[in-house]
Amino acid sequence: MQVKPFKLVTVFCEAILESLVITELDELGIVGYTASDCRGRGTHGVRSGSWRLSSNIRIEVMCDEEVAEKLASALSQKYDKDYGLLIVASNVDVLN
Amino acid sequence: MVFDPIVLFFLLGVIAGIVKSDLKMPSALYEALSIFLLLAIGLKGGVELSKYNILELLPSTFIVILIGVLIPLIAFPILKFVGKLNHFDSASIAAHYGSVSVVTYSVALAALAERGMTHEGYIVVYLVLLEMPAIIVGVALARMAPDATKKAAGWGKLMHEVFSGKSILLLTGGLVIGWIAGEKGFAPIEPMFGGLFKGALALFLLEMGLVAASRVAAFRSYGMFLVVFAMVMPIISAAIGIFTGFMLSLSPGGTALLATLYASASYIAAPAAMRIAVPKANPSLSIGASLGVTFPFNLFVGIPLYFGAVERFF
Repeated sequence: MQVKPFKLVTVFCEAILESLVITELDELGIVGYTASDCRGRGTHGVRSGSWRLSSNIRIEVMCDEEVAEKLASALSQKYDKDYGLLIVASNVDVLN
Repeated sequence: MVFDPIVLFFLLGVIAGIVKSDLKMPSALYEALSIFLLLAIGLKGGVELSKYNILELLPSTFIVILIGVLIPLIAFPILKFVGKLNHFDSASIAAHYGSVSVVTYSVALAALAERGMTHEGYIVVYLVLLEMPAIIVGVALARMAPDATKKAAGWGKLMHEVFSGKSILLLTGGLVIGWIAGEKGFAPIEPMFGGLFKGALALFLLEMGLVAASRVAAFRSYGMFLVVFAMVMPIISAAIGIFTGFMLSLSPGGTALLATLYASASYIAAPAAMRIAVPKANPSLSIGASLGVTFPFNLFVGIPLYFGAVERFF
């Protein structure tokens, strides 16, 4: 079996940014993503998820390192200043 | 009874929030209730609308929208020059106060029924049409800022956010379905959308109370100006509404409803649109004012006040 190394980029952001982040993925040619609702606390205070404006989402994408860097810089340039946004990446092996 | 008993459900929600009760409405129920309320209001309005000639309503509708554009233009200079808020916050809050709140409208509808007052069924069309103009004015005001950047999301994105949002979609959809169905077609579904309306609204207000309580906690950080603004602005808007209703020769019930519409501040459509279109505005200021102060103010003081004024005036 061939194991392919990838970057797993996880974007935590305000739920309202979902369509804007996905537009960014489209522009970079990232085909797949997984989005889930989440709640928690960060530098923007408690995000309780009780209604849309206090909801957060987590968008996970798998891509190579170069695309991951482009994505991170595009997102942080556009949204980091005015919105709650956290981008993390880890190394993963895709097994199938 | 000066106010409708359903507003006590709001109070119960606020109390539950303040005492940190474990009461939490499942978000699926909140979603379901809001879909139900929007559809019910749209449907009933559509049925009423089918009794009128739409073309005859155009001139008055135009005036009502024009006033809807005027309100944020009155609010903006007050916020910016009297309140000394920054340009973006002023524009965003002005948009919230120009736009309308469906739940406040629903409570006013219930108050009308309580008093046995009738109204022109087409007022619901104003509810649908008044949501957007103020948002557009707010965004335009924000973009006039000397240091406004072009980085913000474009108008296309904003229009999509507003028009595809469930409130406009369901209100308009319900309106069209009700209009096509007419009185006779609506009769079989009336028990669901008519009879259950007030009970569902009571449950929804319980949830609104919980959400509002979480905003009340941050009261001190708003500053006195904004708290006063959030109570005075609705009265100014309601006075304009009563005058407009009088000029358009609406019935007392219709005038009270129009006054309540202008007095209400949006806390669902406007915050979402402003967050995307004016990222530099602080959402906790505008939502805190509209949901934390103006919404309960309208429920407990405003609606009885506007209705009382109309009853005295006519």
